[in-house]
Amino acid sequence: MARVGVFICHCGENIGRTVDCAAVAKAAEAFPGVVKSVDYKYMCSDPGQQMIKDAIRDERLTGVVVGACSPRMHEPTFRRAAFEAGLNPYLLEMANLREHCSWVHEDRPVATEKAIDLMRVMVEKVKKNAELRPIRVPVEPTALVIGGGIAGIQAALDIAGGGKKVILVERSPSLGGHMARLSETFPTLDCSQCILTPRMVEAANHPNITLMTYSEVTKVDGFIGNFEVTVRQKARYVDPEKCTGCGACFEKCPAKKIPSEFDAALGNRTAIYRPFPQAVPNKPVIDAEHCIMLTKGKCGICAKVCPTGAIKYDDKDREVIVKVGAIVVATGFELWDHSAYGEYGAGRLEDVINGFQFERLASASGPTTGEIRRPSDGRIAESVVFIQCCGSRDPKRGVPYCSKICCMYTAKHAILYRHKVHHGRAVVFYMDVRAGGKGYDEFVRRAIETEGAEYIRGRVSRIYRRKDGRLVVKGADTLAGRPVEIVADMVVLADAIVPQPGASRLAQMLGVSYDEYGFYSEAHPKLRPVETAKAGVFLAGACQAPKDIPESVAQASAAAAKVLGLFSQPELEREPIVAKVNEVTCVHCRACIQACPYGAIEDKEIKDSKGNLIRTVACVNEGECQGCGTCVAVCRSGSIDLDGFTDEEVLAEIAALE
Amino acid sequence: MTQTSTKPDAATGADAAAQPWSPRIVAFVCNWCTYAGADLAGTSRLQYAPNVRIIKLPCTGRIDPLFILKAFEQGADAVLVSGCHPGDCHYTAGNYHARRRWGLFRRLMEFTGIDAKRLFFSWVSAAEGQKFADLINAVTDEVRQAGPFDPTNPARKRPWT
Amino acid sequence: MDLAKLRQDAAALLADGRAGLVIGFRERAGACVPAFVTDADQADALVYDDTCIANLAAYLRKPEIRQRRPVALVARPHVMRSLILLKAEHQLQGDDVLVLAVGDDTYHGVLTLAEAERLLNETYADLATDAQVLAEIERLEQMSPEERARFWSEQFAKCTRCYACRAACPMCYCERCIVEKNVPQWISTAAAGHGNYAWNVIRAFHLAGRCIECGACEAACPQGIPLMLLNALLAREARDQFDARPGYDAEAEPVVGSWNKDDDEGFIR
Repeated sequence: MARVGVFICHCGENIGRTVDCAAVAKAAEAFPGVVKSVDYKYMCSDPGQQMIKDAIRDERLTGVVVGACSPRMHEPTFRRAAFEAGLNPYLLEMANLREHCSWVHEDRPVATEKAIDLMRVMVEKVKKNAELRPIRVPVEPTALVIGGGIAGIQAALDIAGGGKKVILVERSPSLGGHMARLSETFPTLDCSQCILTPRMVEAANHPNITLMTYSEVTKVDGFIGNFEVTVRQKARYVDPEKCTGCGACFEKCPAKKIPSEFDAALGNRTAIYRPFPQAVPNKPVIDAEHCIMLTKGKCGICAKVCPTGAIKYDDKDREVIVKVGAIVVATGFELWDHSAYGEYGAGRLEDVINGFQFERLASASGPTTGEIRRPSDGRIAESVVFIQCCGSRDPKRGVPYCSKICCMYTAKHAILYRHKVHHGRAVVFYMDVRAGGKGYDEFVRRAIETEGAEYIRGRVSRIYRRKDGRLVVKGADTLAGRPVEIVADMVVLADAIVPQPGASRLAQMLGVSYDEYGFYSEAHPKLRPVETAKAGVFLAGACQAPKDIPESVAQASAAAAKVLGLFSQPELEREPIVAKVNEVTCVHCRACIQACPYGAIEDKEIKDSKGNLIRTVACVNEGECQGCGTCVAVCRSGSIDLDGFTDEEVLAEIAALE
Repeated sequence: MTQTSTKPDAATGADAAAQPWSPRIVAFVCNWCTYAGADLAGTSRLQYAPNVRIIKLPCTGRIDPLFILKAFEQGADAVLVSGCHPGDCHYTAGNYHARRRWGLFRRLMEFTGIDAKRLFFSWVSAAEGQKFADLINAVTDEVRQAGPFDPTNPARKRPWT
Repeated sequence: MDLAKLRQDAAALLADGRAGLVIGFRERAGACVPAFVTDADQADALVYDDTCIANLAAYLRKPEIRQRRPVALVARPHVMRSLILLKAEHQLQGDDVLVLAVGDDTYHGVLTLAEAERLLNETYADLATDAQVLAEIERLEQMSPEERARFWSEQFAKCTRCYACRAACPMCYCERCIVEKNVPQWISTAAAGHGNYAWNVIRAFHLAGRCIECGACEAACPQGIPLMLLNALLAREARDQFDARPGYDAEAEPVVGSWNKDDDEGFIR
C-alpha cells in the first residue's frame, strides 16, 4: 500500500498569499494513499526538510510530494533530503505551486483549486513511481584524438597533461595539419612553425601520448567510457624503429617530380619523403603509388643507401583495435575547389592560386624560400589581387555560410606581400570585412591604413590572361559605383572553408550528426558546443565549423576538459532516466532504433543455451540513452518505457485530472 | 476529482451546480523549453487563465498520441501540446519527431470528430514567459468559445463503459 | 491472365524445393479463400481473380508458416508493397519469400523480392487510392465536426472488437498489440464507447505512413466499418505532407520515426 506524505510550502508569502496552503494540505489528506499532509512556511529551510525526513521515517512513507516552487529550483534539495532519510530520491516529486500557480493567478479560491489539482496529479504519479538507482558505467581512462592538427595536438597535450593516456591518430605521415603550412599567423604575424613545432615535438615525446601517424580510424564500436576503435596503420615501408631520419633515402630517390601535398602542389617531393623538414615523426614514408620499386619492381636505391636497413618494401597495412573511454574529433577542414568559378579561370589559370598556395609562397621554408614568385614563370609578382568570399556566401555555386577566417588571412596576405615586395600593389576585393576578434579589426585597419593594401568593395566578374602572361582582373567597385580593371601578376582566392573529404563517413562511424555541408554538429549550439549528441565524443577545431587557430585551440582545451572530467571517476554516474525495452513483446521493427537521436538503441540477439538465435530485439544502451523518450512514443506495441516518466506514471497523472 | 474541483473557475466550497462551465485544458509540455517558459511566466508574475493543468514530460518526443486520446477520454475540453522551437530541442530532434507525429495525428482527430479547435500545438521556449501566458489566455478563450466538449463524442468516456 | 502458368510455376517451386509452401487462393463455395499448398500436385487448385482481396502477406508472421520459408505468395501489387514494407521493417529477409506476381490481369511470373520491388517501381508506381474512398473522405471533410463525430460514433458503435481488421493486416505484426497491454491499459477493451474509438483511431494511426491501402482490413470487418476511410486519410496526409510511398523502397526510413527540418508546422503556434 502506498503511504504518501504531502508537504505544502507557503514559500513565505509567495505561495501563501494566493493559495490557501492549509486548505490544500487538508484536501490532499483525503487523496487515496496519503497518510500525512502538512503545510509549512519554508519547506526548503532546515526545519522544513527535517519535517520531511522525520515523516519519511516515522510514517514509513513510500512516496513524497512537495508542493512548493518549481522543481527546477528545489527538486535536487528535496530529493537529497529524501535520500538522507532513506527514501529513494526518485520517490519524491514536486508540484509547482509557485511559478505555475500562486504567481500567475490572483483569485485565491481559484488558485487554491488549481493547487489541489496539481497536488493530486503528483500524488497519483508518485504512487506509480519506481525506485531508480544511478546508472554506473565503467570508464576506460584513455582518450582517442582523431586529427593531428593544432586542435588535435592541443587536446592531446591537455589530456595527457591531466595525467590521462591519449592515442593521437593522424592520417598523414606527420603531425602539424594545416597550421604547419602557414607562413605567419594573424593578427600578431608570428611564425606559424615557430609556435607549432615545439608543440608537435612535445606531443610526440609526451609519455602519456601514443602517436599513430599515417593511420586512419576505420571502425568505431561501443559507447561512452567503452569505445573500441579500429585504426588502420598504413604501410610506411620504412621501419620507424630502425630509421634515424638521416635523409639519405629521399636525397637519392629518383622519383622526384611528385607534386608536394604540403606545398600545395607548388613544389615537388620524392616518392620516399617526409612532408616537411620539421615533420613529427621525422621519418620518411614511401608513397607506394609513385615508388618505382613498388610499382615496377626495380630501383631499390633507398634500400641501398639506407645505413640502418630500415626500408621494408614488403610492409603491409595493419589494423589495431584500441579501447578508449572518450573520443575527440579534430579532423579540421579543407579548402573549397574554386574550379566551379568559370569567371575566375575555372582552376586552369596557373597564377590564380588559393590561400594555402600563397602561404607556401610566403613561407621561408616554402618552394620559393619566401619570395612571392608567380607559379607560371617564377617572376616576382609586382601586383597581386586578393579576392575574398570565393565560394563562401554563395548559396548557388558555393556554400551559403561565411568561412569566417578569410577576411583575416587575406589582410595578413596583403601585409606579408607588402613586406616582401615593397613596391608591389596589393588589391583586395571584399564583400564585407568581418573582423570580429581580439586585435582583429585593428589588424585589418593596419593592412589598409599603414601597409598600403587597397581594399575595393565589390566582386570580380572576370579574370583572364593577357598575351604578355599577366592577368586582367575585371570587377566592380560598388562603393564608387564604377567598374575597375586591374592588371595583376597573381590572384589569390580566399576559397571557402569546407569539411575534410570523408568527414561524413567518419561521422557515420562515430554516430555523430553533421550538417548539410558535412561539418559536425554540436550537442547544443549554445550550451554544449564541445560535445556531440553521441555521448563521449567531443569536437575540437574546424571540423565543426570554420575556425581560426585561437578558437580551435580554445575548443580543443575545452574538449580536453570535458574528457578529463569524464575520466575523473572510474565510473560514470548518470541520472537513471533512461528507456527500457520489454524484450518479450518487442518485435524488432527497429522504429526506435531509427528514431533515437543518440544512436543509443541497438539490436540484441537472444539465443538459446546452445547459441542458436531465437529472436532479435531492440536494446537500450544505458550509457548512451539521454532519456528523451522519443523511442517510447514511436513504439507501437508499447514495448519501451522511460524510467521516471513511465506510461503508468503519465497515465496516472492524466487520470488524476478527470 | 470532485465536481467542484473540475471547474477551475469555481470558488472553493461553493455549490457545484450553480457554477458556470469553465474549460478544462490538459497541457503536455517538455521539461526544457515550455515548462521553463511557464516558470518564467511565474517569476515574471504574468497573470493568465487558470484553466490549464500541465503534465511535464522530458521532451515532446515522449508524447504518445495515446496521451492526447486519454485526456479527451477523461473529459478534457482541449489538449495543448508544447515544446521547444525547431532546432532548440534539448535532445536535438525530439520535437521534430513530435511535429511529424502531430501533423498526422491531428488530421485523424479532426476527421474522427474532435474539432481542431480543441487541439493546440505550440513552441514556447524557456525565454518566452510572455508567449506562454498569452498562449494560455488565447487557448482558454478559444475553448470557451467552442464550448464544452460534447459528452456524446465517441472519444469521451461514458459513465456506463 | 495465364493461370495455367501460375499453377505450373507454383508446382515447380514446390517440386524442386525452391519454396516450402505456396500461399494463394482457391475456390470454395463460389468464393476465393486462401490456399496453402505444400504439394506440387495440389497446385492445380490455385485460382486468381479480382475478388481475391485478402492480403496473404499477413500469414507470414505465423510461426507455422515461417517454418516453411522460403514461402511463395500469390501477390498483387499492393501485396508486393506489403512485402517490401515488411522487409523495410525487418520482419522479412529478402530470401524469405518469392512472389507469384499478378497485376492488371497479367501474371508476371516468379519474382524475388528485389525483382518485385523493381516491377512495382516500373509498372505499378502510382497505385491510387480508390476513388470512392477518396470521395467519401471528402464528403466527410465537408461535414461539421459534430456531424463527423456522429458519423464515427455510429460506425464505431458497431465494432465488436473481434480484431479481424488486425488479423487481416500484414503490418499488424506486433506479438502483443497495444490494445492488449494492460499495465497500464491505454485502450479500454470493452466493445463500446471510448474504447472502440481509441482502438479504431490508434489502429489507424499505427498504420500512418505504413498502410499500402490493400483494403484487406475493411474487407475482413464483419460489421462493415469503413476502415479504409481512416487508412486512406492518413495515407493521403503522409503522402502530401511527407512524401510517403510505403512499400516502394525496402531501404526507406519509417515515416513516423523520421523527420525533415522542413516538415510543415503551419499548425503550430
